[in-house]
Amino acid sequence: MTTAQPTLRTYIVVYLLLLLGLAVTVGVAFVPLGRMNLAVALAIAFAKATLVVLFFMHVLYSPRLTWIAVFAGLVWLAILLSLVGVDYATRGWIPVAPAPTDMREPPADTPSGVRSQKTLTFHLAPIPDS
Amino acid sequence: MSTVAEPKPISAALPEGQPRNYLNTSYTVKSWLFTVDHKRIAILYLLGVTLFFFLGGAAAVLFRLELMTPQADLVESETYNKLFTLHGIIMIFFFLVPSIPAVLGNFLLPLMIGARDLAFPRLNLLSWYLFMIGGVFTLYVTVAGGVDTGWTFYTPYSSTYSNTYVMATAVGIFITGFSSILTGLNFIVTTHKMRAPGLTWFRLPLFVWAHYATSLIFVLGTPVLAITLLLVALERGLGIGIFDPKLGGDPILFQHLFWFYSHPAVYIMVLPAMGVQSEIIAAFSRNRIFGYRFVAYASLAIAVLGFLVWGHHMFVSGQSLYAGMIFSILSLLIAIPSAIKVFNWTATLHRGSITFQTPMLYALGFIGLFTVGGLTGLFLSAMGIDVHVHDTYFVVAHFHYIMVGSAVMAYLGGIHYWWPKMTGRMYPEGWGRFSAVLVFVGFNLTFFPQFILGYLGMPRRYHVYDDGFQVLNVMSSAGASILGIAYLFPFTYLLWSLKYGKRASANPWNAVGLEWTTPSPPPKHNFAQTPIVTWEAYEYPCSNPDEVPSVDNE
Amino acid sequence: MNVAEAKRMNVAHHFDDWEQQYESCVLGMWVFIVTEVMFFGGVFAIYMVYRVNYPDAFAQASRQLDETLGTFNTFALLSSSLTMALAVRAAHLGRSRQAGLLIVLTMILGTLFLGVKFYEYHHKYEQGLMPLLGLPLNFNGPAEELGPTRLFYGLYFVMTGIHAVHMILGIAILALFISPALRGRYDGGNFLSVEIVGLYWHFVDLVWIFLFPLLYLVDRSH
Repeated sequence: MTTAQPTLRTYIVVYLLLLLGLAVTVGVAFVPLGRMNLAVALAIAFAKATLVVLFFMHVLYSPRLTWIAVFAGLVWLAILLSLVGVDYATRGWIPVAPAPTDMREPPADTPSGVRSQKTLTFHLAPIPDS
Repeated sequence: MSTVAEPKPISAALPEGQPRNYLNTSYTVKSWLFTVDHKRIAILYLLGVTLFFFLGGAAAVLFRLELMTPQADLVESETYNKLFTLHGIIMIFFFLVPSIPAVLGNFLLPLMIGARDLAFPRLNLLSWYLFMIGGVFTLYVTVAGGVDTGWTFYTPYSSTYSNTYVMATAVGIFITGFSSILTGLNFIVTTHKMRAPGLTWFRLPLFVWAHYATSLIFVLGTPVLAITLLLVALERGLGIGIFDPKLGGDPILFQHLFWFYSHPAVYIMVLPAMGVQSEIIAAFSRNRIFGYRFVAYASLAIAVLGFLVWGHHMFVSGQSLYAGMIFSILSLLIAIPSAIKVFNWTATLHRGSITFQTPMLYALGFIGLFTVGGLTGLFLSAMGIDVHVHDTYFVVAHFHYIMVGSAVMAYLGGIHYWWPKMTGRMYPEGWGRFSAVLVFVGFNLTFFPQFILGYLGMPRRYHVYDDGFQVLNVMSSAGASILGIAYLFPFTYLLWSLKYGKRASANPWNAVGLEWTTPSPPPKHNFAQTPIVTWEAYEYPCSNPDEVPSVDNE
Repeated sequence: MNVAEAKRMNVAHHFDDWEQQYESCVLGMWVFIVTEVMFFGGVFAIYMVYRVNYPDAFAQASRQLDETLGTFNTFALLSSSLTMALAVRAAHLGRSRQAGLLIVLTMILGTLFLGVKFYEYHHKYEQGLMPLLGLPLNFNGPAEELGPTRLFYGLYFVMTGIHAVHMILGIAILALFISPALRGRYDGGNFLSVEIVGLYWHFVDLVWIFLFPLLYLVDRSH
């Protein structure tokens, strides 16, 4: 059994498109577009990657399981990047009380209970101001 | 997918007398060290993980001894730090992660799907070698002076300030990580491509589903740990400051990357255990698993959701509260598929014909202990409670209820259940039951007091503590000694059984499953002919407990 | 040797037939590529966080990389992807010698890439822009950008370094194919191993497709 193959012409066309993408990426980099520079660069990179995956790596001609594997990789990478990004993007959205500088004493407004009656017998260094 | 419709003869008829099986085809060391037979590789892993289990246990003995008194009298603080670090690293990376998948999974997966071997037998052998090489690094670190960062390697302590053997440890775990990755890769391809004719996905044993889900985690999560540890090693070795706060680096970024793997890692440790559970519960209540599809889907759900919850380890680290809320909700949700499994195992027991052999004792213990561990995990998912108990013994107790009370018990249950298949010998049932009960008692005595200790405020990773905590600590250490001795029993009688145990038939438990249709121990190529599967996964007759299910191997 | 015989001779014992072997091996390589995506993904996550937090330092440091060499390298690697794809095609068509020659061409382009890369590393070392192993950083920007600049260079060397290691491994593996290919091993439909290594090579190219703009072209408009 031979899997379906791209033709020689397909390979050459894809290659030329990749080179075109390279030229555009480099060219656009010298144009001041502010934040759009990153968006354009990533868009072109994704387009080039798509061409490589579909044609050079034969995914367009591959069974469904291969497509699932490719999507799984992309989705998991997206999970990593997005949930890490959510942390950094939202720091400061909800104010947090600063840590007390001397951890040995509970804050003044803590209701008295078991915790405040037992003092730990070893010294904890105070947390330095950030 | 193979289009063969009829069975193919694979090997000639077995010779008269002592049948040739995978153990006695050759006795040379070379035949073991260069084997590509998945069954032999499983035994090689068994030797490795057993060694590391007792090594990690030895570290625990030492620090539980230290914790009998509030002062530091047995070991000093640096040594104490090294003890709990090594305990964590060895137990997690060198025992829990490989135990069920690499021992039972390797042995059983091809048998359960009617295949002659895994998809990539040589890669399987490479996995074992990588595991052992990584283990050698860890042994070296243990002997050379230890590592004291905690198994979590938080930066900047691990990357800049610690002067213990961080780099060697990181390299060792990096190498062993590739062992996991390759095993996961092997299992995924095997399950997709090498099932016997007629064995559709929903006829697979739930053990296979569990290992498939685990393999997804191996493949998607472990590489992130690999790059993270590599970066810590590079930061130490080359002075590249990636996590260095002095340069503007963020130590919390390390934690994100570390926990991105390490949280799914706990599902690597528990999903295979759940797979073992399904097999044992079904066999010893002689019922088909209630809600098979739900359990199968729940395995996948746990694997996927497990990747979305890692921030619950970082609620108080400096992560944004908003992200914390997202992680908190997702962590609460992941209890649902786990709970579904517990309900379904319980429902499987209902009106079953239950017998209490050793594997079943471990499995029943699992249900109760996993429930406790899982519920306390819910407490920890709620940020308000977590602020109070984070980094206390409450967390320690929670994860030990899962890791030891569930995963280790399931591992022991599985070892006992499949021991006749793997070795051709029965273990002594009386000793088995006694040990199971002793493990259960010792375990609870060790770890239940730790919930209370944590709630009262005793921090983890401290070798000194307030006097008021001593009673509970002594209870815990007493339990630990019982538990430690209890583990020695199976080690002893299982070894004893290799020579003196009763010889086992092909199916001593009258269980349903392709692995029980081959001789005990199986021949090298598993099946005389490729089976054709026409029956559902757990064809236990509910109304006729004595009938052996028909699993012809024509 | 006809196609059917060649296929039959190369089926491993644990596979039922050639189809199963082919599909398993291709799936196995794709699963491995997914693991590599996650492996590189970790550093991309770090890069993302630091670039967003320190845009000016990253922009300035990026400008000190040689974009001409980077562009040439990208061209070389894309070309090597073409030659590799054509080598796989040749193997599929049973043209073993052609596959061998194309593999040699792929290796040459890959080695060219590595040569340029190591020249760049050496140049950075000479410029005092290699803050590794305690070497100094030649920096004359604002003080608060010093740390982030070091972060950029740390990421630059780590990301391109790990990529380079993957390329070295790829070239080494390709070398093993030359002799069998030139001796006709891939005549007659025995193309599986070439296809597998091709997938790996394309993946290494994919990583560079993203590395190049993210490292070299952060902000070239000033």
